[in-house]
Amino acid sequence: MRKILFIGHYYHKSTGSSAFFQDLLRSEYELTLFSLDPEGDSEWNVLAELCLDDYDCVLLWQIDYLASYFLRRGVRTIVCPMYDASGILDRAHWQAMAGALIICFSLELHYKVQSAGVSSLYIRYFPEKPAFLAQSRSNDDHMAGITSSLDENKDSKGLRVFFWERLPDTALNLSSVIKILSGLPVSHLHVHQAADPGRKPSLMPAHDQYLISSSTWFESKDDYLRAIQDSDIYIAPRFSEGIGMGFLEAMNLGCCVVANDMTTHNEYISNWKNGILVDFVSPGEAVISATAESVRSMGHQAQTDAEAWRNSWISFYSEIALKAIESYVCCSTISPAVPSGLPATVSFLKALDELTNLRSAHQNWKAYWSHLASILVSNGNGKHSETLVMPRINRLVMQGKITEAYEELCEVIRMYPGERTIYSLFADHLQDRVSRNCADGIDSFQLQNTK
Amino acid sequence: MSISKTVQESRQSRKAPSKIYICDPVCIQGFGHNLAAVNRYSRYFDSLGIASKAFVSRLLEGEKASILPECIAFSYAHYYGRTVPASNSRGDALSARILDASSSVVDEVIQGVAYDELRRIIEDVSDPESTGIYFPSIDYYSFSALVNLLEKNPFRVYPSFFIRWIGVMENCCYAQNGDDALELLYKRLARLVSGRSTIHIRHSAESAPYAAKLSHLLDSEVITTPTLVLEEIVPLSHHASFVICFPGSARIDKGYDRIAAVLQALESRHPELDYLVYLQMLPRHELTHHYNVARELMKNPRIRCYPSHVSQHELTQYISASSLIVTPYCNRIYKMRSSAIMAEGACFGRQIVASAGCGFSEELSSLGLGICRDSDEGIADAIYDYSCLSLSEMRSRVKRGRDNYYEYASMSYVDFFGVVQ
Repeated sequence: MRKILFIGHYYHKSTGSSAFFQDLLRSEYELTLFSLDPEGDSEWNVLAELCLDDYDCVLLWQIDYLASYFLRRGVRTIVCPMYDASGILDRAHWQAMAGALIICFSLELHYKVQSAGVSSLYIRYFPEKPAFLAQSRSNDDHMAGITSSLDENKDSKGLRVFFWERLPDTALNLSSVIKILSGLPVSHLHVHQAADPGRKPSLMPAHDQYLISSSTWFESKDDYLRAIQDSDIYIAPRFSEGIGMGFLEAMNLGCCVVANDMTTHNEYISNWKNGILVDFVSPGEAVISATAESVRSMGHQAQTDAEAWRNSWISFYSEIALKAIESYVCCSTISPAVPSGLPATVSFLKALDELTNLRSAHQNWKAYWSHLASILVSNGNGKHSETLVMPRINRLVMQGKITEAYEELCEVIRMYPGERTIYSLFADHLQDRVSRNCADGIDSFQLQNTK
Repeated sequence: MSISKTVQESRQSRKAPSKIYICDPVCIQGFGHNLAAVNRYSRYFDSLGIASKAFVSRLLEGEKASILPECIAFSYAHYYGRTVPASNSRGDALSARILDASSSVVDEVIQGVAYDELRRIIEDVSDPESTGIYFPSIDYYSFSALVNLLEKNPFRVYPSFFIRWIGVMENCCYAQNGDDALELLYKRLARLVSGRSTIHIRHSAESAPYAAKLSHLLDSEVITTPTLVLEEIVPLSHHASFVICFPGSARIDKGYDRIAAVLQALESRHPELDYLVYLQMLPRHELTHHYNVARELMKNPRIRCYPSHVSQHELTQYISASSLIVTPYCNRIYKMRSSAIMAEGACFGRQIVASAGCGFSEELSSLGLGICRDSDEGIADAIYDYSCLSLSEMRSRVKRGRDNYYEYASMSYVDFFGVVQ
């Protein structure tokens, strides 16, 4: 059995959000799990001591900025980036992963990666319906059962709302939610006051329109899910999601999800068909106005759609993912990014920094190339650039073949494996470390290179 | 259509070739124009008792070489946008890549390489009188090489040339105006052919409208040779939902932006229909411009989306898993063009609902391969009508269409190569 080193964020150990993908991989591969706290130091040392030769492949769950580290060492690398963590990163971030298999669970993220000129695979996940629902009803009368359960449990006159306030110090807080709900016939708002680490929950307001209750803890996940199931509306607690397990589970339970109009909410929710998209970033005076009947109808549609998406994951997307992984693990070859015999990279790092400044400083290409050539030579970047490449680039520039010259230069830069890009992707404390090493004239990667 | 007497006479003056060189520098695509297609021609010529040898792109050299039959030679170093690190016949090193397709230098380089390659292939011919050089999907540079070669006239006797035009590969570098450049080549060829009875060239086109247009431009007979398919039928099976596929690379010209409207019409006009859709993701360059189309489409939970690039095997798999093929192609772009998917549908045994007014629409209807409709609503209604057919009725239509297509395709090729059966 082939082996995959599965590296995830330590936070996912408690949320279990990557468990479904680990289970999928276990059907075909032997998995070794490794959790990393990007802000901590200790795991880095453990990671550096791992023998990468023991694995056929490394899979990075969310901590995509590490891809270059492994690709550079010739390790096949699968990356599962998440939109909420990496959606705002620029092209350089993705370009540093060329050679990896990138699997996107968000269409927008897939689009961003593709737009950077890097290949990625788009797959769509949907969680299974909660076990307590599956156990209590047969498949045949599933929908009828759910509907009747909703009818029994939910107040037929007013709407029940569930809101987990995770970001109380943002516009997606309790007061915004109360304002946005003011056009709906709400009878009960339940607020789960378990804010994300480092944030304080809002004070519970007095409200005379409807009942507001709160919780800070559920005994079990089933209790939490039952509370959602008893609701007609689920307010998605974050501005955007990587996959969106929380709101997808709510769709599974027949809730009409009210969510910020961003990825991945807007990749599953068809506005006013199976949920409602609102602008929580700048909500202004936005108010949702609808009847209880239409809200419940959207909830039923969400549940129908959820079943179709779940079936698609089971019988289609999971197979697509496994096939792509098999093809990548078994067939692709990753060339070590550092050709042997190249000089240390520190000086080139500096040269590249200067290159960026040069580009903005020079108005014409010719002066730029000329200056660049002198820098590369004076930085002693080895025989390759000094004796072969730069004269050729200069000749091309003199001949007016700017495009060709640029491509040649890119070729040179590619010989050095995107150090600057890698550098920019490191967490702050690592950047500091690299900078210090650069200043000391030490190859920054020598410290982490286990070989 | 007026075809000059000289051309008609020259066509009849040679027997069918006993050996054919299949020349396809552009067979590097994922499907359609790929090695599978080249192999298919090779097998077809075998069935006619004609020996064949294929010359394909060097881009395919390497890992694929070991799995290919010996009759395939890696010859072509040119393909616009990509070239192969190689040297031409004079040993000049060629660039590993074409950096700037708008450069006239690139145009000259490819022209030179294509000329050298064609010349080398003809030099390989031991018996030109009974050998045919066949371009199954001729590209601009191969055609240009042929015209240049016939003008320079370095050989005493030439093999026969069989050119199949598909309206896709006839592009040149941006440095030239493609239409003007091509038209100039047509004229030069027509002049050459009318002046020399020793030149034997036959033309065919992928679709009937394109054949009619080319016949006028080339002043020559141009027959229609549909895409050849030889694979076995894949039996239709019953599914819980009615499974539709929109196959082929997801592109706007292939009607990707119409799919949402078609499905919306299907749901509003026939809400009782339980359906499932297979399609492909937009390729990178299209996704950049049509992301919103893709995002709206992907909200439909009945849609299952394959990656933008699938192998021939995967394409076959997802066509096979479907009950009906839908091709809502843009008929302005496909006015002259045929569809490889139509051929695949006929071959694997799936009926097709297509846009009316495409180059293949008439063939599709008359051969019983499916039906054509103008509007999104019309396409939706046709999908629904098919969903109402019993499995046995569907199977019977599929078989009829497939039989018709096979007869039509094989007769076309027999006619094209002048094979006496």
